[in-house]
Formats: sequence, C-alpha cells, structure tokens
Amino acid sequence: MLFSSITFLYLFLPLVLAVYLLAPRRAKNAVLLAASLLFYFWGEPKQLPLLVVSALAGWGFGFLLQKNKARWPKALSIAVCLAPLLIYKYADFLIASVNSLFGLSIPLTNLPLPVGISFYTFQILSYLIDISRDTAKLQKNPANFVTYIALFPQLIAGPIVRYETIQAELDDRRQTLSDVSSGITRFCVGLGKKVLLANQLAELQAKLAPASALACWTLAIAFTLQIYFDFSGYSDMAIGLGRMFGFHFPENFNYPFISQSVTEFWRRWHISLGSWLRDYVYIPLGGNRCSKGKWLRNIVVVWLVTGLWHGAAWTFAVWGLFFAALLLCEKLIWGTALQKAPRAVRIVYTMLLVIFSFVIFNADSLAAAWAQLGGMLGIGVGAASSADVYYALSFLPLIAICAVGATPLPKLFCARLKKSRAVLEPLLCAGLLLLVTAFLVEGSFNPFLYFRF
Amino acid sequence: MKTRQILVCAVFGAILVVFAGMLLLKPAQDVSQAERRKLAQFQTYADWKPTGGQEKTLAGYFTQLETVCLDQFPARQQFRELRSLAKLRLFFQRDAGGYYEVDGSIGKIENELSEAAVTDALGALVKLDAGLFADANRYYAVIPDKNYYLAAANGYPQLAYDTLFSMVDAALGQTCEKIDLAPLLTAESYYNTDPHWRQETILPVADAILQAMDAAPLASDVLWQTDTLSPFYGAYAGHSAIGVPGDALTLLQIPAFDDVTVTGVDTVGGVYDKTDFEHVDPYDVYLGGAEALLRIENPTQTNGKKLIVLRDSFGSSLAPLFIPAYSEITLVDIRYVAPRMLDKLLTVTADTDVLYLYSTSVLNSFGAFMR
Repeated sequence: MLFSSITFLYLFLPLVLAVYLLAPRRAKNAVLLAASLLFYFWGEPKQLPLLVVSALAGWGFGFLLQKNKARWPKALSIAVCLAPLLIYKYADFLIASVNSLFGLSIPLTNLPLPVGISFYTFQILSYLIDISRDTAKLQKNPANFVTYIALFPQLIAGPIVRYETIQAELDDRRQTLSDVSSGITRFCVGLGKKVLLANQLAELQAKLAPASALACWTLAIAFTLQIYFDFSGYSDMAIGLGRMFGFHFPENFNYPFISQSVTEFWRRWHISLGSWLRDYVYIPLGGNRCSKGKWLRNIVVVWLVTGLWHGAAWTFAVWGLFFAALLLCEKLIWGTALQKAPRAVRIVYTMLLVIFSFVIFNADSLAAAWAQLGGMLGIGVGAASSADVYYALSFLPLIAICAVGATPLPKLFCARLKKSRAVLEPLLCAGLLLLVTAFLVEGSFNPFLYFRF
Repeated sequence: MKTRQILVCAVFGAILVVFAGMLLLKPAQDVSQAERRKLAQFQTYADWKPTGGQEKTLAGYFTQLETVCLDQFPARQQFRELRSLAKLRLFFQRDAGGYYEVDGSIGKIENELSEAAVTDALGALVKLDAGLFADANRYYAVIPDKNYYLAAANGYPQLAYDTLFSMVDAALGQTCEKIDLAPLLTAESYYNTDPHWRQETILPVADAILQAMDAAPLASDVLWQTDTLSPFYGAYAGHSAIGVPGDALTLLQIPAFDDVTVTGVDTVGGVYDKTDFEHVDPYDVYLGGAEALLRIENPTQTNGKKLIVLRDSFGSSLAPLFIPAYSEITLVDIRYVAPRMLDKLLTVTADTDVLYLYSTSVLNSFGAFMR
C-alpha cells in the first residue's frame, strides 16, 4: 500500500488512527503491529512471512549478542540477517555479471524483490550492531521488536530509523496535540510534494525521449527534482505519520539542492542512509584514521555500497563510485579552490554534478546513461524538436515551483504565515489534502520509485 | 497556538471521516457518463475474476480493490475537474493530461504520426479498392481532426499532416478521385467538447463530395429543418474534465426522412433517434452510432443511385446529408466488420459510387481496422 493512494488515505489511515486513539495504552503497540502487517500484506502478501521471520531472527540474535561479545556471534547474526537481502536483491545481479563476464549461462533466480527489504534489513543490522556495542538496550518483547521493524510509516521508503532512536518511544510514548497537529501538517506537505510535484515531473518524463539536447536536459532536471520531491515527500509523510502515533523519526533531507559542494550535498541528502553507512561501515573499516591507502579503500567501499544499496545494477555502482571520485577530488584536489569561489558558482557546480549523477542513477543501462549525458552535450542528437520545446515550456512553471520549493523559502514563508493567523495552517492542510485527492482519484501517474531499493 | 493545533486535527479528521464514510456508504455507480465507461464494482475475493489472463492472486485482488475505491470515490467527477483546473491554472501547464482549451474549445494533443498505422490502414483500403470495388466509381476524402485547425495555430504540437495526406494520396490517388476537405473546414466546424464535426457546419463538405460524385441535389440546395439537443458534453469534455459549457447538438432533417429506413445488422430504425441522446455517447443520435453495416433506403429518391461509404464515426452525421441524392446508401465501418467479409454483404456494380471517408485520427491508430 502506498501513502499516496486513496485506500491508504481514506480507508486505512482513518481506521488505524481511530482504533489507535481508542486503544488502551498497553494495546497501542499491538494496534500498530497489526496495522503495519496489514499495510505490508496489502502490497506484498507473499513477502510478509519473510519480513516477520527476518524481524524475529533479528530479535533472537539480539539475545545472543547481549550475552556473547565474541566476534563469531556478531558475524553469524549479521550474515544470517543480511542473507535475504543478498539473495533477493543481489543474486541475479551477481549471476548476470558472472554470465556476462565469462560467457556462461547460469540461470537467474528471478526472485521478486520484497518491497522495503533494504530499509528493514539495515534497521535489523543497526539493532544487532548496537546491541553488540552496548549502545542499545535489548528488546525482550518480540512483538515490540517486530513493530519497530515493520512500523508502517517508515517501512517501505524510510527513513532508516535506528533502534536506539525510538527504543524509549517504543516502550512508552505520549501522543500530544502538538505532535499530532505538526504530524498532520508534515504529512500533508509530504503528500503534496509526492503527488502534486513529483508525480507531475514523472508525467513530463513520460512524454519525452532523450532524442534532443533539450529533451536530455529536461529529462535530467525533471528526474533530479522528481526523486528529491518523491523521496523527501515520502520521508515527510513518514515523519508526520510517526508524530501522529507519538514517534519522532530522524530527518532525512535538509534542502540538499542549496549545497555548495558534493560533500555538503551528501550531508543533506538521505541523511539516515549516510549516517548509517558512516557509523556501521566507514568507521568500522577505519574511517579516515588510517593510512591514505586504506582511507581511499574505505571511501570506495562505502560509496560502492551506497550505490548498490539503491539497486542491484552497474548503473548504481557507477553512480556510487562517481560520488566517491567527486568527494575524493573535493578533499584532495579542488576543495580549497571551491571554497574560494562565489556562492552561486559553488551551487551551480554542485547541482550540475548532481544532475549528471542522477542521469546515471535513472538510466536502464550504462550505455543509455552515456547516450543521455552525450545528448546533454549535443553529441549525436539535434537541438530540440517542436514537441520537446512545447513540453519543456509547458512544464517550466512546475519546474520553477519545484526549484523554489527545494529551498528553505517556502518553509520560511509558511512560518511567517502561521504566526499571523491560526486558520492558515488548517486551510493549507485541507487544501493540500483535497488537491492531492483530486490528483489521485483520476488514477493517473503515481510511480513508486523504491521498488529497487 | 492551541486553537491552530485543534483546527488542524479537526479539519484533517473531518475530511478523512466524511470521505471515508461516503466511500463506504454511498451506493455504487455503474457507469461514469463523463468518462464513458463502466466503473469498477466491489466483489468478494471468491467472485472476483482477474482480467487479461492474469493469475488470481491476493495482490491482484487488492489492486482491484484500489481501482474500485478510485472509481467509486465520492464527487469523483468534481475532483477530476479540480485536477484539470489545477494543472491549467495553478501549475500553468498548457494542457491537462494531453487535453487543452482554446477559446472554449477542447483539443487533444495527438502529434505522433505512426506511419506503420497509416500504412496498415491504407493497406486494407487498397486491397478493397483493387478487389471488391475495382469496377465502381471510387472517391476518397480524409477528414482532418480538430488539431489540424487548433494545434499549430495556438502553439500546440501537431501531427505531420502533410506526410499523412501524401501517404493517402500515394495509396489511393491512382485509382480514386480525391476530394480535399481541409479547406472546407475550420476550428468552428467541430464541437467545443467533442472531436466530431457539427452537422450544421458541414454542408460545404457534403456539397464538395456530392459534386465530385456528380450527385444531386447538393446539400446546400435542400431546405433543412433544424432541431437541437442540449447540453451535449462530448468525449473531450468527459475525458479531459476541463470545465467548459456544453454544446448544442444540431440535427438537420427534411420531411422525407420520415420515409427513410435505416437497417443495421440487428436493427431497423430512422435517420435520427433522439432517445439515443441519453446514450453514453450522445453522438449516437446520428444513425444510431457505431455500426458495422447500415443500409439507408430512401424511397423518395427514385434515381436508383447507390452509394457505399467506408467510414468512421464522422460519417454518421455526414451521411444524412447525402440521402436526398441517393436511393440507397450503405455505410460500412471496417473497424467492426472484417473487410474480407464485405463481398458477401455488399453488391457492387459499375454504377455504384464508393467513398472512402476516414478521419486522420482513425488512420493514425494502429489496428483500427479489423483483419
């Protein structure tokens, strides 16, 4: 089930909110667990057992790691909990790569990728590592642990919520009027970002083919904005829903498109993944407190993992390595010069590189990525067809709205408005909800980008 | 502060509860008149049968339930109109889902010429032309769609009409006489809310065709009486959900139509049936709408002239204007009858006039004609 669906908004959510509000305090986690399992079952009925078994395995290994601090239990529990992700997500990628490299024809498994597996696997791993490090308390109640893993607000598109972040709230939390109200506003804003902006940018892309320089640029810019508004919209909805139920999830995006370097971009983009990989991969490998060679290796490993986490394909690997190269260049070659450049130049530099990177990210193959990047430079394509010009101009106001919307300006504007009149925030929420409903009722373009995550 | 928080919760909760209640309690609608389609209905898992050869799975059933919720959502049409309005007025897009509005008239962007589709369609006509109709007097006319007059002039992408017309000329021009309709029409010749032309504006088209076929009287020489039905919300109004006023659908008739019989595959009726205005497609008032084969017999015209028109839906409103000039007109729609069957259904002599009359949008739709 998607947050941006009529069934979620007008059947699932009101029902769950009502039951949750009426349930006694002791039963609230049970209500959330049942709702979360139903939420997942609706979209992935066959994959629900895998989710539950994975969560229970993580819960069980927690006891082992609490008692035994040797290396083998940690390695064993991580290997077992990581196995489903490796099998479901990467087995066919590996087989296809081996086949291609050695001219073999090993049959593919064709296993369907369970939605959200990358998110919930990383959450289980963070719990196990934190238990082994004694930075998190053991969760003795299996139902509470499965609730944490399957919690529907963040199950299928993040943010990656570490156990230590919500362990206290999982056992005891309060639902305040302030939290519910701010959660509703955040949810409506996220819904608007996803349905009104990201989905329309996806519509634009469906109308264009990368057959001219203008189309290549329009596609690249539209996808960059789309993935930001889609992903940050989902994160807003998750954070908002969390607050409605008394949880406080971490922020996942912090206006990444105002970044003045690629390094800064990654401090603002998908923050929960970046910090997860920093704490559970980069630092354990030695971080930057090691020899230069090992540091370079660590950077490459982390960014390769970052790339492949987003999808099992060479495009994602190259996307990750592209950022590894850029970060190294900023640290070793042009970082100082960049800092001296005017602010506008730094922002344009960052945005151009980010846009190029998302061409690779979005391409079906490396060849398609190179073709589009070449097209952006006018290689092998014409300037523009009349249809390309039409669609670029037709969607220009939307792109402009998105460009402004990706900065802190709307938030500042809304904060001022909120102070002036009490009625404006409820009106904004109602307006967004009704407008989103209007866009959803048609059953028009509503892509789910995270099926490969 | 607290007032604002209470208001946010109250407004959000009220919207969810009201629409959820209406969705669950409102009686299900069978058909969307605006969208001209049946709406999905709730079924139990046991009763549900997947379409398109899909396997019966829970995931598929849940997807079907989502479709039911979309189709049966309260005030669905008003929400669709709000969406189109937001696209055009809030996001300043030039079209809403491929539909645009110029001076109250709705057009649909169809700018991609499928040469394969045109070749395929022309192949069927050429085969008939060289076979069944080889001895008849053959004519062809292509009806430009509304975009021909609206799109380029208003900055919208346009089909490569010249290429399409050239392809038609190359296929049929050697054996048939061409009747050029493009100069005889304007954007005003079409309904504001529908892709079809207005019957009252196409007398020059009928005249040009009748003149070419040496038939009389010309349509403009006939004293037509008019009758209007309104409001007529055409296909574009429903599909686009762009809120424009309805059209008035005009019927041109003469007293002799009372004696005319129109015989379909299973039906016998008159030229117009006003009760058809209540159909999902009100344009069905003209000769009852889509039919594979229609025979129009006019006992008041005794010249014995026979006309066969291979046509699409545009022919339904044009054909009545030919009635005064012919004893018998047969309308054939090879979208609904296989061309290979026609030799069993039609009698063609050297005196028979045959007109190939198709719109650009049908010629450009792959697989439009039956095999």
